[in-house]
Amino acid sequence: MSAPTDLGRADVAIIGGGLMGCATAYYLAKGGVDVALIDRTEINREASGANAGSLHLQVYIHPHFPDDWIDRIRPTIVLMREAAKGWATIEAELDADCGVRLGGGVWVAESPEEMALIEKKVAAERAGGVMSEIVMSNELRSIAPYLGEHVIGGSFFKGEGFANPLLVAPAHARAAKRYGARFFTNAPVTGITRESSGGFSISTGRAVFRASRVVAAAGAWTAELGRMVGLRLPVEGHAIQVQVTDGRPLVMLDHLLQHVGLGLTLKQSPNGTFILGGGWPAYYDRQQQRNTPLQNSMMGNAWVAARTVPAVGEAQLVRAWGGVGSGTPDGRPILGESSQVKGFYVCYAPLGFTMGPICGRILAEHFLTGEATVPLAPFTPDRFLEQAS
Amino acid sequence: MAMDDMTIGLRVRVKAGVTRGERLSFTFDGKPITAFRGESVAAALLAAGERTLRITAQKGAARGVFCGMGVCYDCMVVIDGEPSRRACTTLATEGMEVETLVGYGASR
Repeated sequence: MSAPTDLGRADVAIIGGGLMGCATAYYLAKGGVDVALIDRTEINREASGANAGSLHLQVYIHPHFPDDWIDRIRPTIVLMREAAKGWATIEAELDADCGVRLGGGVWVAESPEEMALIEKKVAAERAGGVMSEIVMSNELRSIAPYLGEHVIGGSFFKGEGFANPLLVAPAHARAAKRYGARFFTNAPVTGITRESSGGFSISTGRAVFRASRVVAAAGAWTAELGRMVGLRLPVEGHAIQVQVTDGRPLVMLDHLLQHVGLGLTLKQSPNGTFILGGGWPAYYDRQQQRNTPLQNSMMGNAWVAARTVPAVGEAQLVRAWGGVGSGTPDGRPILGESSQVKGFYVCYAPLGFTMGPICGRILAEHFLTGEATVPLAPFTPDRFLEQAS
Repeated sequence: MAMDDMTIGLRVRVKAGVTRGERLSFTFDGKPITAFRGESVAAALLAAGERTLRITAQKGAARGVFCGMGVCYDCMVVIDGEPSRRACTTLATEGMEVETLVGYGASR
């Protein structure tokens, strides 16, 4: 057997070409770091490109979540505050159209119990610097006149909205390349080994790449990369789906709308199509390794959407597709360097489309200066160590 | 070629070795269109030389059959008063009233 092809080396190798990896590549390259990104297929092929484009800048919560959910994720709220600032300026930062629309974000409730959860959420957000507000019936309808009769109240945060998942990660990748970042695609990483020099050797089948440091930016596949270096990184993925309607008259004011009780994200793109999401389960086709929409989820999701915004009932569904959701046991991102495997960094967040750009920026800040705008301690990969034994 | 062949689109339809279903007629914006049973609305309209099946809502641009297989939704028309029906996945039937979908179409 011949020796594996030597792909070269970089100071930092980022594994994963989703939004998280592309944003990390951009901010590191902009900071002067010699960086290479490696992806098993092409950039933006999984969750980053297949999600519904929601920018979740209010706490994502539903009644079936654990009672202490807000306490678990509380340190993340400061990161969300920074993410909101970032999305407002991202197109100028990258000099690219990312389809960003920040008309504001509306969460709605249909019952006092659901409203109580929204009140708990808003209190935590405001304490963390995300200045959402409780808005009741008439006031809410003046903000969101498209709402149906079942809504009794909710919350509003003016920094929320949506962006186009087909544009955001590629825009980061192009900007990263302008600063010299290199991209290797169709290169599935099969192993990561520590070299005697202290760096890493990354195998991609018949080729090998060397780097002083590695950033795992593999989203739902983070746990697999962790196992390659002996770390437990408990990220679990699940199949979810999105669907879109034909174009209808514009009514939704560039809002992101969410229903706390029934599972809904809803927005209307500038061309009039409604985009329906909310984490409805899809089917994972193991043979094709593809997430496929389920008809029951399509119908349930459409029912909630039309119940909440009657104008959706006038529309026709034209497409549905499967995407990838993922999370950690404590609901927090995993950001930073492992103390067990020095030089191995993790850049992962639940709701990764919303959090990708800020996580990439914060990780790069920390990498370049040893400090970051947001304290990284609550997000350290080390927090899973003691559970490993 | 006989005049009748032209009007029923036989310059476009394959003739040799094809057995067609029963001939039928529907209207497109009031004009009579000939189809054969088993043909889609899109196929019959294309054979009749109708290229523009809808006008977009925001820019007023013409759209027609693009993918031809039910995926792109560019060939949406109004069928018997119901907007946003795909011409390519709807079989032509006798007496069907097909109209250009202008903008969002009427509210259902």
